[in-house]
Amino acid sequence: MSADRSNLVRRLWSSVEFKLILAWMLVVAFTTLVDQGHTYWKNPATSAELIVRNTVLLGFFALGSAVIIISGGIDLSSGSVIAMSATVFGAILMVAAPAEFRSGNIPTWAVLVAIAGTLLTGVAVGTMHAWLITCVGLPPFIATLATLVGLRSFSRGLTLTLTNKAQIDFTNEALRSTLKDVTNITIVFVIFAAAVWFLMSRTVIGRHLHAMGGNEQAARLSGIRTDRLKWLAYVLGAVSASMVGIIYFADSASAKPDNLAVGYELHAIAAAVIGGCSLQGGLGTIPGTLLGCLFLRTVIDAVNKIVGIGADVYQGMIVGIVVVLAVTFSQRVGKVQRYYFVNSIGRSAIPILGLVGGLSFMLFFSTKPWYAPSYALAVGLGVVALLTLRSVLESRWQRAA
Amino acid sequence: MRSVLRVGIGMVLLVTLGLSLGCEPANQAEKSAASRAASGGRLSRIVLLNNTDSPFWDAARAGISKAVADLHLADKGYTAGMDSNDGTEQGQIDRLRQYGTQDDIVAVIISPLSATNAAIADELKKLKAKGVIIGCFDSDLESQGQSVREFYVGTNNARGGEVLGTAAKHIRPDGGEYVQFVGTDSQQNALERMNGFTRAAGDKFVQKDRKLDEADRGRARDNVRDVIDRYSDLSMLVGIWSYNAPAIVDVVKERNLRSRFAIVTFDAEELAIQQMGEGLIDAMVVQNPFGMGYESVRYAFAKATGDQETVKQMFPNMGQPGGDILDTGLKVVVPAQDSPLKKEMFDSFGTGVEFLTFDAFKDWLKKYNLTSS
Repeated sequence: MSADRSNLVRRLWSSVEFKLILAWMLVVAFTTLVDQGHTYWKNPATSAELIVRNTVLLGFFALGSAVIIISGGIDLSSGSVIAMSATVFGAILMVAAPAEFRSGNIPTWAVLVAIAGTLLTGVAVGTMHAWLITCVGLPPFIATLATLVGLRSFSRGLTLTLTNKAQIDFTNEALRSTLKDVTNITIVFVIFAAAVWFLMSRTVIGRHLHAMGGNEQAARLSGIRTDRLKWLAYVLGAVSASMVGIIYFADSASAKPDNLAVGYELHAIAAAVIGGCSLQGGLGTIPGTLLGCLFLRTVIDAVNKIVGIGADVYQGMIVGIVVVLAVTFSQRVGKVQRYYFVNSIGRSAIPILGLVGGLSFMLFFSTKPWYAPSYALAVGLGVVALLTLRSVLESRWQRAA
Repeated sequence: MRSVLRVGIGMVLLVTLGLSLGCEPANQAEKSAASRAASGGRLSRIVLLNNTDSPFWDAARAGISKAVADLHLADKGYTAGMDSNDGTEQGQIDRLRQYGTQDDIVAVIISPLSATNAAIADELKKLKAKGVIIGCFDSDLESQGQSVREFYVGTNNARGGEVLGTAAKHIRPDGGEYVQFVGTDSQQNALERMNGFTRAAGDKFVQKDRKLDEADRGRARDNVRDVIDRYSDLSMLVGIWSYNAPAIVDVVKERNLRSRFAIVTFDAEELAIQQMGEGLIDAMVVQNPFGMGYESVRYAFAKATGDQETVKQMFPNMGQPGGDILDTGLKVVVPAQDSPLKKEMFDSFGTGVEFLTFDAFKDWLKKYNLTSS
């Protein structure tokens, strides 16, 4: 009985999902305590709604990215596909029912045509990626880098041609409310996520995608049709981004392709990696990616709550640190011992981390009445001392091993 | 055991990081023990949200800090500060949504990136319904959306454009071809300034283009290069947003074409000030972002604390058409006394427009410890 319990604890502890849930709870609890407005405690419903909305919007295309990453590829074009899809959706509405689009009373058939057209655009983009990678022979990084810049430019041209302006405005209040409603998008997302989970975990195709990501050549030699699998992965990635494009068009009441969703692909990749996907391919789960999205969006929300005014200044730095910590500590599976500070590269990182510690201290506290430069120096030296101690211990562990 | 230790260390690091943030970053207003007591342990916040970060906003930040100190906000349990948007409409929408979850925010004063964006107006409406004071500064909502906000503090942009157009008309009395450079034409301030310029410059001037750079400074320079190459008879370059001035001057200097172009611009970034000192800009129409920051906080604080006297003093005609607008004024800055522009040319604009030589303008900056405006 005791051995069973021990095994269960060990299994849970080795699971990325379990550690992410713990980390997420820690962030929520910590934010509830430290946020001076205690927003999570006082306004749990509105706070939860905001986090759910942001998680769902990221989740759509992060799931698409996760499938591509698991299959051994990478997609850098999600943000541009979102921008293009928003533009295409608006453009189809304008062309299909011009008078109604202007008057703000768009018929249902036009909306359905626009949604179908936008999703088909996603299929086309995914097919184009698959063609560039499998037939032309471009590495996925290069193929999707080309569409990262190309699709945004195409969308700008389309907008300019149609409207003679830099953006397409969307003023239909009722349709906007329906398309961006948090309940509606959450329901669609749950269905989408369940379908992707089923595909990846309960079907032969999902197993083949994992196998292809782990070793493409071995998968091909064992009879798996890798080209078709790649097509499926990239189409799924692009269509998931297209769905987000439609929602963003409604949410921001405009399609402004030059700056809509710039850099979002990195959020998707970060969420997938936090959730346990390996950029080498073959590893990763859909629940892990979902938890990665939830964790990432909650950390961003927490920074806004805790820092308050000026959060934008510190957000990138904190999210970067937390992502590194989350990936480092959540993905330690098995008994593989990793040594951080035993070789020359590791040891040379010690003074750099000390400098980062001291400078961060200075950034956050330099206007406090009690602050003195010597404190920042002490913090920097303290970090160096601790990490040097760790380095000495690691050397001993390595020798003992 | 070691893995538990590692996770423990990771969590301690996370907590330390959070604690360091919980102690407030450097640019937030200081708290006093009295204010904590007055506000039950936390300060109520007046938040100003800009459109995209730029040196133009540094002066507004200085105005906010001055208002926080002058009006003793902390003593009554308040603080104020500016958040920077990422230059996208979605960025402003996300931030407004974030404010909606936080009870300690009593006022949101925004420089809307798009005057017509329905989603921004929607989020402002939701905040208003929660009892948050809503205002605009620097740029206003379009007339239909103005019912959402309580007040506008900033430049009368249409008049600003006319002042710049008047300057252009007197610098080149024979007229000529010109191009206006701006970030986006969807923002109200940009539209009003450009239209105001065209109106005041008159029939002798021909607008060849309006070049948009989407607040990308690299593109702003490329736009100048492009029009110089494309329009051989071009004789005037007009900068509408603050960073357009240095972009225009840099390219004109690089091509050694100063004698061909008259350069008139809005705002005074640090580099633009230096360039005017070198005689590379003929006229600058300078807004008062310091005043925008200061007066926005002043009004929101007065409204939040029930100081009706200040509210009435700032907006004596509130409720009447145009009574909800506080004009922070303009300065026409010329390089030296020998400029073709003279004070009397701008008298018709009234007391809201001040005429200064470059040296007098520098003295004004020094007085408020500013490096840009």
